Amino acid sequence: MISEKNIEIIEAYLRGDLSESERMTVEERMKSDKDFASQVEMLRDMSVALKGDADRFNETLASVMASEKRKVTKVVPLRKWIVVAAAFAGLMIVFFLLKNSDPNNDLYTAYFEMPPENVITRSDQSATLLDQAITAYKRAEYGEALSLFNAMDSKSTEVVFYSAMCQMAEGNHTLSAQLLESIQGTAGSLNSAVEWYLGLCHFKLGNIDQARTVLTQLAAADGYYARRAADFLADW
Amino acid sequence: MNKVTHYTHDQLVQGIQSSDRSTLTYIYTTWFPMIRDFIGRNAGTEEDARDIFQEGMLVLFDKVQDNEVEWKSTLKTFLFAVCRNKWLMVLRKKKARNTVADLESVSEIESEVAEDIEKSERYRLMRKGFDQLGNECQQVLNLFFDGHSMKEIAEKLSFTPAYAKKKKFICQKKLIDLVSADPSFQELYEK
Repeated sequence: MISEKNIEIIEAYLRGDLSESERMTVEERMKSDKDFASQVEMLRDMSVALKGDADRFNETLASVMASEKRKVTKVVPLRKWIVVAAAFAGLMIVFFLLKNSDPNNDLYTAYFEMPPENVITRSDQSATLLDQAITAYKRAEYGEALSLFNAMDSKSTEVVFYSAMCQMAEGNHTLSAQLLESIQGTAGSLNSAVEWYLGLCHFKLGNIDQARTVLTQLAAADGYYARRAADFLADW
Repeated sequence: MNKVTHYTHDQLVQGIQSSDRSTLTYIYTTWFPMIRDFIGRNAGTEEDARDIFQEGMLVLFDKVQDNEVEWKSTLKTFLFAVCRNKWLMVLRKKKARNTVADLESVSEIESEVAEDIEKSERYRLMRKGFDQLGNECQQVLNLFFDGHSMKEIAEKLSFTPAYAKKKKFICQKKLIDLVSADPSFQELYEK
């Protein structure tokens, strides 16, 4: 059971208000008295846990998530749909007449996401370089990651794949497509990802036939990227 | 009003601390796909991804409460590492670990976030105990941890300063008793 005196001492310790000798006494006691150590931890946690309004945060986040989910899955009634379609068609006519925008870019932007690094096989030889590249990739410093990937002597299919991803992030879609084509069909568990991003590269580059061919073949298979490809083709 | 399309680190931290809706919308719309894709590739559903994202965001919320924290990664990287770590725990429970090749490599940041996840679990336990306190106790502790002095608390709640001080001690003791009696206390505090 915690005493009022202990609470006062522990709070002074957590605020850094104790003298050097008092602080050492508290720390010595934490080592020898398990209950006291738990009390220090609990009072420390109490000051953090009750500082922010976690309930409000959770409620706002849940509301945001529900609202964004509704936007994606919202079912539009038929009559309203016709009005929306007519309006959309009108907008599209103006859009194409003006020729000042790129609808493909919107579709590409909606579907392109950098894959998180999680499949690179580490090799002893270039572990340091690879670790540095992975760290840069995870920090979304793709230019830096690319330089480090390029500096590696031997490149696994994973390294080639993530180099291609960095090129895509940097907007170098031609180079990215070349890299992806170099490992097409030989990337093992990454094969579907290779096809998906190659299809996106072709789409971005305006190689419409190639993009459609790659994505249609991918969509006919099973798995996550196949579903992404099918969704993409449906939205195209 | 135009949508903000880029937030600085400090803007994100402030937005999370204040539960700002625009900031949370930005985070959800731009970061959630990364979590959903990862969990989708590793035997999980979109609903799993939503649950993990929400849990991960609470860990991030707890982390940003500490203004002194030194960030070793971006908030996005931190969130991804937390969610990945949490999903790994789910898979371990399901004993599906062997089927998930994507989760083999554990980076430095992921081992670091394990501690943040555990802290967040302890904060959750503390908040659970707090919810069981009476209204007066909740008011006293909220004011105290918001940085009000005992004199201010006494004035706001029409107590004498001595009673405010005594009440704060009673409420803290009650909260500690509630937390200590929870079945997860030993796992989280007495290792």
